[in-house]
Amino acid sequence: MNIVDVKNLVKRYGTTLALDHFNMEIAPGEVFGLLGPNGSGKTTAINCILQLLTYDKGSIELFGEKMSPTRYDLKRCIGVVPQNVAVFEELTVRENIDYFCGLYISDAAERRACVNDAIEFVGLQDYVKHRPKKLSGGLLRRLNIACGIAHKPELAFFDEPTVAVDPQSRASILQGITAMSERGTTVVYTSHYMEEVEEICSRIMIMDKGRTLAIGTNAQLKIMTGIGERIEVDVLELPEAARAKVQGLDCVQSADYDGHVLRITCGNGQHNVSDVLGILRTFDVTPGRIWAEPPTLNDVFLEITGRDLRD
Amino acid sequence: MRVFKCALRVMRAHLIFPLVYIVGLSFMGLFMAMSFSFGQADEQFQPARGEYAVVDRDASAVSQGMIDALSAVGDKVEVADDRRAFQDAVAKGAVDYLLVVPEGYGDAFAAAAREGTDAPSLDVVFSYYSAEGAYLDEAVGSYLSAVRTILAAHPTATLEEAVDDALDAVGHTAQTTILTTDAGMTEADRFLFYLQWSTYTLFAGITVCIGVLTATMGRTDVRRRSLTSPLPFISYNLQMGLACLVVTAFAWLWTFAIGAIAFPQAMTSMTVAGVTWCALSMFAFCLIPLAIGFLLGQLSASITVSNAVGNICGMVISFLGGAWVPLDIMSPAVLQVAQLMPGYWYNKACGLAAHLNSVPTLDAIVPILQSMGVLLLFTAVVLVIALLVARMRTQTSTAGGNAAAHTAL
Repeated sequence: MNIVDVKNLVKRYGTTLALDHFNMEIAPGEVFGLLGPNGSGKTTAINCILQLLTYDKGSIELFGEKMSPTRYDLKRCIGVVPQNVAVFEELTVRENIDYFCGLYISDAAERRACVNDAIEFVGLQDYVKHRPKKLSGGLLRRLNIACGIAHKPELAFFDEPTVAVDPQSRASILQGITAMSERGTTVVYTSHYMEEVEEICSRIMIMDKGRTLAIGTNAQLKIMTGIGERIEVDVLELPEAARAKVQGLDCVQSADYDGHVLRITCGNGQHNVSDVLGILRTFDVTPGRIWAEPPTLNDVFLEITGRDLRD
Repeated sequence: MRVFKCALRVMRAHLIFPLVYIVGLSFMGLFMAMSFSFGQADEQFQPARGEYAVVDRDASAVSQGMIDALSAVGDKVEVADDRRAFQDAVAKGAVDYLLVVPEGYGDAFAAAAREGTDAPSLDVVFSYYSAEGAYLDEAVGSYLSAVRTILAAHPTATLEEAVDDALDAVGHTAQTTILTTDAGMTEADRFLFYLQWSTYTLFAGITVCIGVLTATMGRTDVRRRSLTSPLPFISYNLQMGLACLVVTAFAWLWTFAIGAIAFPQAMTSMTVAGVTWCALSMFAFCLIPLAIGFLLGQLSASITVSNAVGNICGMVISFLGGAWVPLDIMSPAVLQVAQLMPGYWYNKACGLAAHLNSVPTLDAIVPILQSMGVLLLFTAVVLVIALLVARMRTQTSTAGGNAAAHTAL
């Protein structure tokens, strides 16, 4: 049984098609990365799943049951960490977490324990009596997360939770999400930071224009796009024939020389670097620094969604 | 009751608004009502008395008569017969009236009276701005006039006889009694004025408090977070409604109780029915700013906007309700406009309720109920508009694209 099962979801804003027969299946315990350019439909999809928005067509099932705005039993199992910090400026850190946790857990003793756990989980023990105004950006983000997960949800939605936070806070947040996953929480994670998604997500979906473009593990996506490694070789002089020979290799997609550096983009292949070096040797070209980098998720993302600027 | 408690905590964080608007303005209304002198029916009339000084260089019967005439209407202050002392006494306000009787004045005055020529002049100093000084001068003038008349009418009368008769004549005063009319100003009227003025307190206070509360609780991000929780919508809305009602009830109870405590005689002079209907009318009025505050919350009005709306509308409504200037002296056109405002109907209801008998008849209560009905209609209209705004807000956000989706609900 999938925790999230979205089938053929269609959502229109007037004449704009925000979700075009969108499908999504998430298994229990997964950390599912949802990627897409601005306006691709990520937030709309999440809002539809959370029943904050109505939709025109399709079905949404959570925990194997049909989701609706009044399925409070299902909502009880969900945690939401929105993109914007959604807390009360008028309440202290503890009061904020207690309020949002209290919407899920009515028993005072149980709630107190959950609130304490959440405070410890995000490392806000020293700030429980502070008001949000006195917290830094990173601490605010952590408070935002604590408010969303204090009730220990089985399914948690994180919508760009690391926007505008310092590397230390980001590392702490990602560590926390991983810990949640290890405890059995299913996580849906959206972000524009590809390295984060690569680091924590077990499966990734790339969507655009309301449709799923690709889905799979990090490695599967890289294979899917056919992007291999990127090789850079420092050479003082390179005969054009040598460059053409490199370009002619089966695994090479492009080879450019700008006077000092030979930049090669490879497809999937087993011996890309040795093949390139073998050709250089035949032309008596002595390489300086050689640098090979495997493809990143960012390369995959740009390959799939294109390099045109978005709104 | 998580939302209810949270709303009260939010209100506690914005305590400055109820303190300034509800507590502060209610005290201001109280002081204004107390500062009015509506007459004191239980006290006897006391004529005003001034302070005078006489420098008698004549020491005649006439000058002694002047001193006696002045002592009946003022209190004597000793001033040395010295030009500098005169200046000091008048300049420093030690006396309201300074009289210098020159040597030979009595004889000259008697001769002039018998011959019918002009009386000799006196040296008198008092300020044009001093009512007491003018009053004392008038007393001296009346006495001298009486002496002159007696001497002219009775040529054989001695100067001493004329002075005695004159003092006897000017000593007669009219009997004065303070009468209060049926519509007289009593402490109940002060209380009624306080209730009238409270339109500003209540309107500004409740509008601002509810506006701030609903805007804070309804902030898009936190509201969305609440909506994703298992808390039913109806429970959320009911708890919010209850919190708004508690804030309104506090404003109502505080404002009314302060008035009742400050004017205890008004409470005893009015009937229980009168006090009760006044309180109910006030509560009916309070529901209007509650609805307006709710509307401001739906419009996501900022704290500044809530303050502006509360103050400006509060002033207009209280002015057109007759709290600042009596409606009696307003032009018919302004009165017509006033009838379109809730302050008018609230004051009408309170005015009628204040004069209710202990066992009011249905005829007496119906006009009060009608005025309260108008107040409730105002509330209903604003609430309907607020609900429409809330609905439009949701519909617009779901119909306008991805950016709008962020503001949904």
